[in-house]
Amino acid sequence: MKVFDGQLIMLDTISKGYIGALYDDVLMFSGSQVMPTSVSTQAVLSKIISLGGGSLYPIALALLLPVFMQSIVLEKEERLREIMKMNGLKMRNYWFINYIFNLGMYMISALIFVVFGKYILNVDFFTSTNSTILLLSFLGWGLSQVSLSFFFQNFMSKAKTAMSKDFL
Amino acid sequence: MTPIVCLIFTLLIKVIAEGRLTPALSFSLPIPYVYNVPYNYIYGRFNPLLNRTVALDFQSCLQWYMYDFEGANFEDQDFVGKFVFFDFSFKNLYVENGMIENVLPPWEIVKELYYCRRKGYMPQFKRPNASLTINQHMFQTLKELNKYKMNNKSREVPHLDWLPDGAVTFYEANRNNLSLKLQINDLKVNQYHRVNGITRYLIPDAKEHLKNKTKKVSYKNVPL
Repeated sequence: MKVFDGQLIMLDTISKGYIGALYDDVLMFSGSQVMPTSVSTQAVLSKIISLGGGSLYPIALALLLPVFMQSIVLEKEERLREIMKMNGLKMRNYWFINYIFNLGMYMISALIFVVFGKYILNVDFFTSTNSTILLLSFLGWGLSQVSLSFFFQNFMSKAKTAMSKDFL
Repeated sequence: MTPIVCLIFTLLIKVIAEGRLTPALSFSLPIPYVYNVPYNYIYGRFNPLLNRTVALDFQSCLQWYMYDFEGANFEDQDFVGKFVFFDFSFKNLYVENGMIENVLPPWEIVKELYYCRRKGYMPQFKRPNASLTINQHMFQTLKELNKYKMNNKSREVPHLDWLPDGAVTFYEANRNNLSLKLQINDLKVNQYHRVNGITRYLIPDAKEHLKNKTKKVSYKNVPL
């Protein structure tokens, strides 16, 4: 249905009648021509893939979580933490260093991820998103992962089970 | 490494999908859409001159509008004129002199349109009953049409010829001024539009046309 065309056709009908009534020797023709149009599904496809990718990237970046947890639980399991404590390590420093180390590892991984996505593979998710927002989001995701690994290690006593449970 | 593999995987999917789905389409109509031309003979059928079937199909010849006056004096009404009817058996069209006469195509053209002769060639003008306004007439007609069952495959609701394609109300019509209100059928349902090229036309399935130019083809409705 083309209601807009219908309006123009009707307007043309009346205009023809009026012009004809005023001027005997005038014949009016009116019409319209569509401008050449280009249609591509690329934009829609990119959005769909970006949406799918957007839900995949956080999972990809969460793969370090089991590693963080395994290292802490392993130190607990092998009594390494106790030995360090006997040698005078304060627990406050232990957790602080672990936190910074794990976060640092995550940030390096995220940085490589972003560099690849933005400058090498030119994925829309990275090129179209503001860098600050991307950085803050990834930082928040990293902080929450390290904190989560510290929390879950309380319930685990063996490194192997810790890793498998964490993957789940 | 795994996150980067994820990225590459996403990119691969994108490249494959783009290769399969996105040949950029660009299209344009080769000729302008000139209004009020008997397109029934140009579009939608196999044209031996062009040796191909052209894009649009108009299946109904009937085009009719309601017209009425509001606050217009007798001189204005005379200026507009009075449409009576087409008499195809006697090959005459009855129009009292006025601007409406100029709207109608010359009889020499009309009589050549065999396809449309019996159905009444475009456009016809009718006034509503004296007791009704145009809008009242429309609502009454639509109420009647709504009583008829129609399935999704119906091209048109039964008795669609009762419904005008549009309506025009003249407030003033003389050599110096023309003041009027145009209304067009803008109902959202396809089946309430005649396939006459005014508010609706059909686009034949191009692939089927390429296979066979004369056999029955499926149509696609143009969205509103």
